[in-house]
Order: sequence, then C-alpha cells, then structure tokens
Amino acid sequence: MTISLLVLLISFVVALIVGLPVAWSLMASVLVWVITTGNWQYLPVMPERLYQGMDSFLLMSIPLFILAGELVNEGRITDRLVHFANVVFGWMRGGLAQVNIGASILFSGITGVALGDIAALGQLFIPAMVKQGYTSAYAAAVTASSSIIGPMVPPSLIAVIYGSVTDLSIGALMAACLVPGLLIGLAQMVLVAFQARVYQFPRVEADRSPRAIAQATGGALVPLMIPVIILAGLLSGVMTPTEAGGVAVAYALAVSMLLYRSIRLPALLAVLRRSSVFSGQLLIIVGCGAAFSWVMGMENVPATMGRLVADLSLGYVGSLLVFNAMLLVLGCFIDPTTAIIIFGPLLSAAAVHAGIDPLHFGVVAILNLNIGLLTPPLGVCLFAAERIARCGFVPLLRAILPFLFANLVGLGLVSAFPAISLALPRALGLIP
Amino acid sequence: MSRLQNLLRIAERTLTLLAAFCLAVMTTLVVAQVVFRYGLNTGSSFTEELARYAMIWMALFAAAVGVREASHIRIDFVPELLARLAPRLNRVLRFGLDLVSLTVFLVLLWYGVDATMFAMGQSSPGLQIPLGFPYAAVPIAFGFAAVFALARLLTAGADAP
Repeated sequence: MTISLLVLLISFVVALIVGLPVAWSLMASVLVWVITTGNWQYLPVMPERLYQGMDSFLLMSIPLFILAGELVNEGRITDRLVHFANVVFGWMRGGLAQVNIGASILFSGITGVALGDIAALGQLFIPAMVKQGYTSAYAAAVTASSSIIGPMVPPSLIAVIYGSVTDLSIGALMAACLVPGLLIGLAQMVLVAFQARVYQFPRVEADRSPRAIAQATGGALVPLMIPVIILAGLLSGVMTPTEAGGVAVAYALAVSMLLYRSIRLPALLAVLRRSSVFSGQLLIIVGCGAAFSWVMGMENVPATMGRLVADLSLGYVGSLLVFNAMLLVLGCFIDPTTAIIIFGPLLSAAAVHAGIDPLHFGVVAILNLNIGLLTPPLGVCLFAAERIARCGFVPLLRAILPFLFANLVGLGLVSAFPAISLALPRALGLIP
Repeated sequence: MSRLQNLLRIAERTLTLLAAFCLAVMTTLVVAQVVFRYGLNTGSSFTEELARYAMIWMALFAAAVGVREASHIRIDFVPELLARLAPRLNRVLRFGLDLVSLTVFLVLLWYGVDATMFAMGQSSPGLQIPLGFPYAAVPIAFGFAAVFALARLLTAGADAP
C-alpha cells in the first residue's frame, strides 16, 4: 500500500467520522490526494468524473423507485395492506406482532426502503401493540427488526443501486434477494411465535369469514400489483429497471390520484420535491464516488485488493466469514446505500477473486449491511423506532437482541447456502 | 443581513422547484419512452438523452439545496456528541466542516466552468445540442452551493460569542 493511497483513505475516513457529508468527504479526500501527490493536472478531472458518474440511463431508476415509494406512502395505500395482513397473520398467538412483520413483507414489496417502512407502519403498529399489552420496547423492536425485510423483497432500491455500481443484472439481483428476504421474515415470525408462547401474547380478533377474506384480498390487490408489475417486467426482460421504475410511478400515480383520489395536486408537488431532494443526495454520492473510485483505480486498488485476497488464500468459507465480519463492522457505522456506493464495486471484485458468486455475494452484502440498521451506534432504524415508541434506548436494545440473533441466523444460512439466493434466478433462466 | 437571508431563501425555493420540475420531466420522458417503444414501436434516443440530462440537473440542484438545508447524508455521531458535551468545540468543528465544503465547491465550480466551456464545443449524440448545456449544471449548482456554504460561515461568525 503506497503512502498516497493511505493519505486518500485516511482523509476520507477522518472526514466521514467528524461529520462531513459523505459526498463532500469523497471529494475532499480526492482533493487532499491531488495536493499531496502534486498531481495538479488531475484537478480538472474532478467535475468531469462527477458528471460522467451520474450520466447513466440505469441510474435514473433510483429517483423513479424513490418517487414510486413516496407516492405509495402519501396515497394512504398502507391501510389496505394492514387490513389484509390482519386477516392473514392475525389468527396466530402474538397476532399483532406477526401482523407487523407480515405487513412489512407486503409493504416492502412496494417501497423497498427500510426507513419508509418504519415511518408508515411504526406509527400504526407501535401504539396498537402497546394498547394490547405489549411493552413499547418490544413493539419498537418488532417494528425496527421487520423493517429490514423491506430492502430485500423486490422491488428494492438498494438492489437497484448495488446492481448499477457493480454492473450486475438488477433483475437477477432482485430475484436473488426475494427468497432470503422471505427467509428473514420467517425467522422473525418463528421467534415471535416462540416468544408468544412464553409470554402469552394475545391474538387479533378479525372477521375471517370467506367473504371478509375476499374483501381484504381485493383491497390489497391493487397496491400489491406494483411489485408484480415491476418483477414481471424486469424478470421477463421486457423492461429495463429504469423503465420498470417509470411504469411503477405511472401506476402508483394512477391509483392514488384517479382510483383512490388520495393525492391531490399540492400533495403531488410536495412528493416531487421530497423525492427529488432525496434522490439528488444519493446521486451526488454516486457522482463523487465516481471521482473517488477513479483515484482508487489510479492507485491500482482493485488489482491490489484482488491479489491480497488471493494471497491470504482464506478459502471459500474463510473468505465469506471475513467478508461478513467486515460488512457487519462497516454496517454499524455507515448506512447500507452509502456503503454499497463506495465499497460495493471493490468488495464485489474481491469476492469474485475469492471464488464467490457475485450475485450470491451481492445478496449477502445487502442483507448484512441492512442488519447494520439495527445495531448501535448508528442503527438508523433503531433510532427511528425509538422516536415513535419513546421507550428508552436501553430497553429497546434488550428487546432487539433476540431479533438481531434471528436475523444473524438468517444471514448465516444465506451465506452458507448459495442456493437460497441463486435458485430462483437460475430457475427463471436469468443466470446459467 | 435579513435581505441576504431573504435572497438565499428565494434561491433555495427556486432550486427546489426546479429540481422537482426536472424530476417530473424525467419521469414523463421515461414513461413516454416505454409507451413509444411498446405501443408504437418507435424507439427514440432523444427522450432517453433528455431524460438523463433532466436527472443530472435535478441531482445537482438538489445537492445545492441539501447544502442550504444541511440535509446531506452524513455520519452525525461525533457532531451530536460534541453538541452535548462541548458546544464550543462543536462550533469550531462546524466552522471547519463548512470551510472544507466551501473549498470543494469552489474547486468544482472553477473546473466545472472549464469543463462546460470545453463541452460547449461537443454535441450530444442524440439531440445534437452542445454538451455544455447538461454540463453547465455542475458549475451552476456548485456556485449556489458555495454561496450557501459561505453564508453559513458568515452567520456562524456572527452569532459566535
């Protein structure tokens, strides 16, 4: 490792830790690299890399997916999904906790952003669960834990981002994430079922006559068509991810403005504003990240990294363990999107060197980094759920521990058995 | 001071509106492209190119707005800790961060102008417009970002003890 590379990495990490925004941290460290190496002729390259890093058709899927998610949130589509989840999952002991998880799985099929899940479902479920006698810390723990299913079940924003920075097929990646996402949901449901037996949680009373079931299903069918359209379009190869995002926006817009009439023009403008600011902040990280990776390329980092992995010769299992440990630590400090934009291409290349299937590694990385949303010190989902439940941080930590364990078991299974991720895309003929 | 603040607020609102407008244009173009391609079977590279440029303008305007709102994605663990334990030190840190940001913006502004001038001489493959038009978003956005950062530096100096 050369000194100039060390300067680049250290200045980046320091800038990040003291709280400089991620995008400017990337650019500032490039600047420090230029100054210390005296490569002044590369200064004009910075805006060019920034521009070219964002100038991609595929990247347009990011704002489109964000816009579709915001439209769904604003359009009060959640109520229908929750009602449906009540009927389907509520009969179990610990019904409301199960419904919370089930609703997350359904809901995640629409937005694919963990924090959106907490904002939309937490407000609803945490007070309702407390009313039924669950502690507020437990309610917050279930909400936070189930929210990380969202980024796994397609359509997921994070799969789009991972695919676009690593040049993997986004359709294949989404298909690969589906089963692991459901597996995580199942792990959490098993845990809740166990806890429900021990702590005598109540069931949910709901009308479960065939007619009521049909009605609830009918109500949920319209919003649930969004993931179906996206997946069908992507997996059949008819649409590019960007076009699928566009169709999802058009569908969400038609449903919420024409069918439900739950969004009017002023609200639409607010949604457009919010989505553009949020996606702009992600895209600018992609752009600045392009300048940063360009310097890493100048420093031969990808090749060195590959050699390093080869020299260590950890073997298949060893590499997976090491990568998982690295990602878990990384996930404690950086949010998944940022981590994937900056380190995704590098780690993915290194994993391929170690003989790991890039698609399998992508699923492991996405799942792993999302678990980081539940761990201190920077577990964003933890903070978000605490803010709604106001249960205090320490009780929440205690309540989340079993869920963290269940999620880690899920991660272990997904890491150990590539087939969990790869079987579906293979069956669909997306990969050989 | 308050007139300056007013101007800044107007700039922020305008940029936000423009970003939202660009997003609307981009979305419309992508949807139109799907309709064209599957409905009418006439693919068009124009729509694709224009949509991409709209996204770049949107992203850069939004990035400038994020500077004004101080809402860019960052790790705020250390600043929040300092704000509680050592407010004065935190003020110093914030000043330093704004200064570093400003430097980055000025570099991108300066060389962004160069890149835009250069790109004015090239034309885009589909629309045959000078590439300088989409490129101009870089210096314009970072010009605004620099102004926003500078304004924060000045006001931070004003309410320091």
